[in-house]
Amino acid sequence: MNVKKNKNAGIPVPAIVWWVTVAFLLAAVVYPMTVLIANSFRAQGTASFDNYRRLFSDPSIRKSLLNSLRVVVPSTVLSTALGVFCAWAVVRTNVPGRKLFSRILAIPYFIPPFIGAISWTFLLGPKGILNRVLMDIFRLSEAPIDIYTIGGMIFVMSVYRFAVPFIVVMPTMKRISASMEEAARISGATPLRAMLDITLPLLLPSILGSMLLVFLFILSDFGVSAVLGAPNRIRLVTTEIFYLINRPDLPDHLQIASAYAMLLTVFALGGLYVYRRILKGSRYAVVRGESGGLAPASLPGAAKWGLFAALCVIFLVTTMAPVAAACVTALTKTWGIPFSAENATLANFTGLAAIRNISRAFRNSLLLAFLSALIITAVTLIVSYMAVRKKARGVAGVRIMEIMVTLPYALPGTIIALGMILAFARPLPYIGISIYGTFSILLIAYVARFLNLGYNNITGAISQIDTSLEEAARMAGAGEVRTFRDIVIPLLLPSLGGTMLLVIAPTISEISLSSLLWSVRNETIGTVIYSAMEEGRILREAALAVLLILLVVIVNFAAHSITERKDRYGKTGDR
Amino acid sequence: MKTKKIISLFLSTLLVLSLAGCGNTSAGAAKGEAVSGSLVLYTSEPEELVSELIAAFNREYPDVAIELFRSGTGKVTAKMDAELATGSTMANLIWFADIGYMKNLDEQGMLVHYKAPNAAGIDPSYVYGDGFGTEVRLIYNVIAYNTAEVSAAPADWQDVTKEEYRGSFAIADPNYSGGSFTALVTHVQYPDAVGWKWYEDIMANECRFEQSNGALMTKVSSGEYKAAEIVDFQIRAAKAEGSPVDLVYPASGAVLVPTPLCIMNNVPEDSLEAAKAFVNWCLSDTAQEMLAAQQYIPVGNVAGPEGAPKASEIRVLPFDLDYFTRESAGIRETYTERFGGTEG
Amino acid sequence: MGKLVIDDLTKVFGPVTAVKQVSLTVGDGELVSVVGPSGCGKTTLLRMIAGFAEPTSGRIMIDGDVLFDSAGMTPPLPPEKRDIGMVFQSYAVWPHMNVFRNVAYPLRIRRLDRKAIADKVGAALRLVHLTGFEKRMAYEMSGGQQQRVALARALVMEPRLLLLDEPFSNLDAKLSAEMCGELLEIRKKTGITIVHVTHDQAEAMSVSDRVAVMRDGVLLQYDTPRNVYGVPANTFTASFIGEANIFPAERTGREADGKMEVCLPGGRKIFVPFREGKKEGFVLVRPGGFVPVSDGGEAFPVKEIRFFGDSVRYELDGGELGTLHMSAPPDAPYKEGESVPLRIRDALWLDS
Repeated sequence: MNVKKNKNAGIPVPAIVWWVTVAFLLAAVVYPMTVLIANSFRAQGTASFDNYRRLFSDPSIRKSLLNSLRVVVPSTVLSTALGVFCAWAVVRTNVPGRKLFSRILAIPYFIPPFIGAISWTFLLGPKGILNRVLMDIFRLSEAPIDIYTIGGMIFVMSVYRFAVPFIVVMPTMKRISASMEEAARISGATPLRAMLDITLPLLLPSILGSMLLVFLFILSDFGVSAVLGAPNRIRLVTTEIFYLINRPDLPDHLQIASAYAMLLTVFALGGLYVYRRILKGSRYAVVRGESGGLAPASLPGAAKWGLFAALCVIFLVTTMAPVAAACVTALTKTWGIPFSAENATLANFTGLAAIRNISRAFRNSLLLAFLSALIITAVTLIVSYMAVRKKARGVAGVRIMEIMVTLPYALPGTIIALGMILAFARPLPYIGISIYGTFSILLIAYVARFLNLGYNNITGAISQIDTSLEEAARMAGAGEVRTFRDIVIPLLLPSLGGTMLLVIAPTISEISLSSLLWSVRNETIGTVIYSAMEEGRILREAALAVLLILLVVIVNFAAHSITERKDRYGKTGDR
Repeated sequence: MKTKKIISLFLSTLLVLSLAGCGNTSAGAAKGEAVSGSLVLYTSEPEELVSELIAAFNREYPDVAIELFRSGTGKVTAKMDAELATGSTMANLIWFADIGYMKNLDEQGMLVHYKAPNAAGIDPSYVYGDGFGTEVRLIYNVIAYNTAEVSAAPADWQDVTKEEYRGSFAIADPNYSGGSFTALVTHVQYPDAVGWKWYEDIMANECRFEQSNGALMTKVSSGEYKAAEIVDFQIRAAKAEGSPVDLVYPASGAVLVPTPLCIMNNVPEDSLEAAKAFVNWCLSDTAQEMLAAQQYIPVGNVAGPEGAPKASEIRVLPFDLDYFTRESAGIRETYTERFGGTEG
Repeated sequence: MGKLVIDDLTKVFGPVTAVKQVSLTVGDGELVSVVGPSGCGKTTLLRMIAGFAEPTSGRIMIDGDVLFDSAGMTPPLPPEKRDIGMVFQSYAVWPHMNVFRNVAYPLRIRRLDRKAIADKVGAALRLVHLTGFEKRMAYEMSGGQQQRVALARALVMEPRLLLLDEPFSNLDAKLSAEMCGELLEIRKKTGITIVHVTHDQAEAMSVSDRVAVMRDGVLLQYDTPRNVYGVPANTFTASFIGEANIFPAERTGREADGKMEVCLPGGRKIFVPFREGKKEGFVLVRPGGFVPVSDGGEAFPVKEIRFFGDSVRYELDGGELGTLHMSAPPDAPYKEGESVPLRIRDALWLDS
């Protein structure tokens, strides 16, 4: 992929690929982001710092920022701890059912945030099932748990987002040479001690990376904060931004909202910086590929079943409970009447067919999810490869590309959508093509928003491939393109598949971008769910949600069994 | 080889889904008027309703193409603002619950003034300004309650300030819901019936908030809230489906939430007549009956939804556009100052 | 300290029996090499001693302490309680710790005080000639140096037993020989019992007190290098350890002076030392068992010559005997194509 090197080659393919990628990123990400940034500096039609000044003078903005930190910091820590614990149990111990757990504990990632939050209100709201049970048991006159609080948000975000570190850390954990842990055991360390002293520090880069990801996830979350924050008017950054967007009477309200959103990117960049700083000393991030996970630590019976029970509880609380709540709702005939055999129906599902264009919405969402997953995987593969392998040679713009790929992820979807409108409402300059109101604008917005998911995942995977593997191919006479195709891509296949899954889940149910950018013929499931939500059609919403979760889980399981077969590459060193 | 499997999985899912909903094609022959054009409508009304209306309209005006963008009121105005920041908006027709925004557009000369022939028979107060917008059906903020949780139905706004409703009465957050903000302004305008005092009382009674009417409705139905201030048509729809909810038009007056249909002046020359035809058609008996069937109070003289009063029978706190224009900014400020802060 | 007893040890992995009823004893201070082709079960045996693999049946003891006993009541002792040191094939030097912290780790686990840790780590590093490298990280060191760190880490807690899992396989020949030498030196200084797994039979022969030869999970022979070489248990051991000429043979029945006559292919009859056994079997002749003679012997043409400095190896065309491998001192130069008259001086009867 070196740009300068191909003087004698007929067509400089690497250079072309790189510059096409750069051009795409410039158009799809850099341009709208620049417009957005420029816009955040506009007040009363002229450039100024007024919007930013306002950020620091408005007490409700300050309050929302503090609220956000009070929610985001603990839930990032909690969900990371929970996710890493589960990954460890599943990969490194002989807990019964570990294979199954490794799949089903990832399900919360595939539940759309709004749905998850609403399901939790069914469980822990004042009239929620769990609260009622507790009231019955302890003879209480009031619901003991109030989910509409900061604590409630921390709880829901954590049990919901722990799947991100779980998914990200698990593969790395599998790849750490088993002899590292065994060396600690033979030195006298118990399995737990070996985990704390050896495995955990070795996983640090991966854990920090997933922590950053989950931090951004939670920081830019709108679903949970909107649903749980509303009753007591607890505003977080995202809901405050939405409030500003909702204030057309306020001059420059979109500009102020953009400025506030830019503040989030400061957090994102800060997080990225801290992450880099911590990783600076650990050049050992390259985990040797030679040895796969040998036999996991065999725990004695009591510990084994204790761990099993813990994983069951985690699964019940984080996955079964909200999914069951959604299912029960979807099967309810009349909302407001307790669920029973008489009050059960399949009509909510069959009734979906009557929604106009529902099939087109499903088709569009599937296509959008699949295409954006494909594009994101391809683009981030190229950018990550350049960043990891060619960084030292100072190829132009790699660092900038890296930042550009990371930033949109920290922004709330609505803001990205506004950026897209600002950038693309007019026909493109010079080219004259208008993509506004087409399928393409949704695709571009999806790609821009979720690029970071791919970038994080693939960068990690590339740095784990020993350069000697590529060098061997070069020695064997393969050119750069050939090496990339024959060596790098096959070795990365499991990670590339994983990345596509990571992208498909949030895109297939995307709401924030779609609800501003959709147009006739380009409906998405997200817009249908959003409409159902606004119209108070909770039963329809639940039925859609159940279908959606089912769909994504099936895709996930199918893809898993495929990548699992591919994953044997990583385990050739097994004895 | 394995990717093929994924693709075929996708394709088969697509196939199943596309079989699930086959649209019905309309037999388009009708009056055969010489009106043609293409329009874009931005609205916050339920998409199914608007699509049905457009389809029915097209039976009479087959040569008018109307494209639709639907989202929440706040998102629609945000989209328009962003588009306007780049020069102009795509919207030719607008229909949502933010009359302040529309009035503002009108002051900038961006709306076409139009008095529909079919509006001749309706209450003139439903045509705003000098015809910049026309109500085509009426929605009111009323009190809805859960019939299983409430022993005696509330009758007026003051009833929900009682101890019984402590922590279990909710409103849509005026900071997020355009409709709820309009209601706030109207409430304040009539201090004898509601006024600031009422807000003080419900806040003292631990009033709860939601960002949208949809969430309010879900929670009144489930019994999480005993009562809520909410738009009437949604409750009528839920009641018709059997949910344990009912509504009262408060004795001192319900609040009309203005949701006029307006024509933007960016409508192309050759489509102006089509836009006017659509507005006029929405006031026709055909359209009014369709709206009534969706539990809306019709603005025209057709029969309303079952069990609902006629518009003329509802006691309302009359909406006053001049008052709204004059006072809304101040009222928002006062509200935010006194009750609007974020908590937590 | 350090007598290892393995008793009737079996390990079954699904359909495969990796180790079959292996029994052996390693005396205190002894160095035993386990050799065999890859897949013979030697690594599994080592991992069972270490505690990373649980035997299906059998018993493992050190100094009378039971580490594992499938018949006993006690659960298997986990690796961390076994007081065994181990050097891994990949070294497993922890990349997030410097040399000092790597080596100090077993002592920290055992809660030694700072002073004692510093002293012991210093001594261990001196032993492996890494004094001064305390602050280095793994990625700043060569393979050989990493190996020394791993060795120091295994020795620092003065274990009862040291396990070496193919420790030299990743090093070049010179470094490997050097490390071998150092290992012997360390053993001399510490008197530690060592079990060493390798596929390199030359390495095994040169350092071990006893060699255990395994194939397909079965322990074929367990004896001193001299005996394994000189009196191999069967043709497999004979050809796995050192170079061997093996001929199918039949007893003729004639016996005299503790010798017996056997018939080789082509009707050649020779006398070999008497051994009880089957009628049909094999005759083993080591390359040094052929002696060139000036007259009387059968002559074979030289096919190939390999010069080793202190000796020369010849490959001769043996006709129906196949290729013959002969070693001779460098002062008897034969040329390619030249016929060399031979006599068999040392031969051994093998039943199988």
